[in-house]
Amino acid sequence: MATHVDAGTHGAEPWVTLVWNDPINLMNYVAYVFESYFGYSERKAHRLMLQVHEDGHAVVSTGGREKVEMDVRAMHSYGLWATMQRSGD
Amino acid sequence: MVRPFETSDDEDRVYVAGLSTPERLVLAQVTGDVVELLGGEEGIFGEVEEDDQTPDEGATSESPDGLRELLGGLDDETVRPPTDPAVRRLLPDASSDSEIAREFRRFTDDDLRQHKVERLLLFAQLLLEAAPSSDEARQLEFVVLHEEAEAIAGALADIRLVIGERLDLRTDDDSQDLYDAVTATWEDDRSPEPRGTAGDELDADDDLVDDLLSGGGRMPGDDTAETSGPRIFLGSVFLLAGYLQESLTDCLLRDYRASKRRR
Repeated sequence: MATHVDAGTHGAEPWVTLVWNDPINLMNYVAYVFESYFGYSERKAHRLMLQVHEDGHAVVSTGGREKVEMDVRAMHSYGLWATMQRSGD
Repeated sequence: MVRPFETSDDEDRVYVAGLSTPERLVLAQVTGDVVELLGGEEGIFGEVEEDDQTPDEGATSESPDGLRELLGGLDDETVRPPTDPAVRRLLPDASSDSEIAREFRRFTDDDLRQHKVERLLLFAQLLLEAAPSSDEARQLEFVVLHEEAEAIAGALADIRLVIGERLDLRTDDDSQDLYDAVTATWEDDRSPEPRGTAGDELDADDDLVDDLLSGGGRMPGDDTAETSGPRIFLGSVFLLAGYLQESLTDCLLRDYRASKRRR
């Protein structure tokens, strides 16, 4: 699949951050990351953590490309397995 | 036996766990190995460069080669994905789109490596802070400042990711099987009380640990070493690190939620 990188439009394009399930990371650690980094409520963080665990992945944030890049970088820093893609892909 | 992290009763803004001297030493060594995998020790790689003349037996660590390629600067603009799967787990592809993944790596690889190395080194430094005790069962306080706690939890996460990759843990069932295999060895222990972290298994020699984590070591397959040996040893370290990370994260979560309520 060819991808055109057009810097001019990326700022406005909605992107998503996906976090993927892995058998290593602890559930309370994932919840802590979602609460403290994204500022999500205890309930939302817990729901996302369970979604990652049960569905294999979850969309944890959306936004422009730069914002999502920053979020993916933060997730990697915490040791979570995260990817980015255009929403709808 | 390890004692989990708790908020200190005596001191402000610290979390305290209890670790025996062998537990500290093995964790410090594993931490050093992960630093090495990330290319955090210039000296070690310098040596590897000089030893380059000697042909390898084909079983040495992949990461120095990866780093050499990197330092060789085949192309300033390109940062290649790590060839060692454990390093790749710490610095994964950011997208299934290779162009996006490449661009992401180009801008983040250095910073992420450095960040991970720094907090691993902090962890190692804290582990080695207390004077070793000749009484191997004696638990020494392991003190972490509140502002260091997230870095230490992150370092423990990275250590567990590397060990998990070396042990080929792919599913939740794999993790459960490992847990069962390791804890089964505790029940076999002749000592009257179950031991939190299989102290006996933690006395493996230094070279073994390095071999296991370097990626070049030969990890015996599941069939050969279910009840003893390197797999159980690494599994014990994995559980020990998990026990510390989980209890430290409980402390972090509790204090984060309390501070959020106060705001």
